[in-house]
Amino acid sequence: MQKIKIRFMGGLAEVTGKSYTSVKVCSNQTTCNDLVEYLHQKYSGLSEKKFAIAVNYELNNPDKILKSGDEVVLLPPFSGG
Amino acid sequence: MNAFINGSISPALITEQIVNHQSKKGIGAHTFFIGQVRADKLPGNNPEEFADFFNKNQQHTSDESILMRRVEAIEFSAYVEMAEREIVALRTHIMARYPIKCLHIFHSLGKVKTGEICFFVFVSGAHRNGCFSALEETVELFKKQIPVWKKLFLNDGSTVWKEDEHRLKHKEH
Repeated sequence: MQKIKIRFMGGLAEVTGKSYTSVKVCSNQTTCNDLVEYLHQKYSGLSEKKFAIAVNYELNNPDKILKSGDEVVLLPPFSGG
Repeated sequence: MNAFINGSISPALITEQIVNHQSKKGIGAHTFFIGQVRADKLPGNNPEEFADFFNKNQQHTSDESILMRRVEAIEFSAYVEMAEREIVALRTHIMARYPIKCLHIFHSLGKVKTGEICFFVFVSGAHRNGCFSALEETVELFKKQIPVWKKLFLNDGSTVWKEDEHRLKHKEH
């Protein structure tokens, strides 16, 4: 069983109603893309939002296989400065 | 060094940075960028309600100050752990690319009111050559690559995330 930490940054926390969550996945072949599909099903508001994904600080690696302890972070378009 | 500061960046910090570099005698030029929170105008929250109000009161609908909402403050948030790593990488990239001696970046977190400072980039070198380009590239890359977000607080009590602002303008204009 792999436990994956998930964070929703910026306005995405308002869409999902939380900043942090975690999921347990049984397969050791679950990819970042699989997780995003699951999150879309669970939080329908995400479909209207643009976001990038960081896994352990690395951006946009959709085929990355997730392992226990990984932190997956959903990042809306940056607007700093 | 921590780039993030809670609340606005005080003009005193900017002065202090200049003073700190006076002991570095190899420096002959400073360039800096100061970002200040602007009172942007956004369309009203409910245009129909406003139209109704104007009809009833026979007021002229071109009174922009009533039709528009205004930004009063911006709340900045960041994925700090990643942003700090990315800022280190950004500094390394700029320092390798331009003949400069120092590069300091400060950015606010939390709420900053209009007219207050939220972003300060300070570049120093032996000569002005490179300082201008290094400054501009740092500012542009920061905006593109560093995970920071703006939530706009408006004068009618509502809030809008910066990334949704363009959608609002397209929808209501």
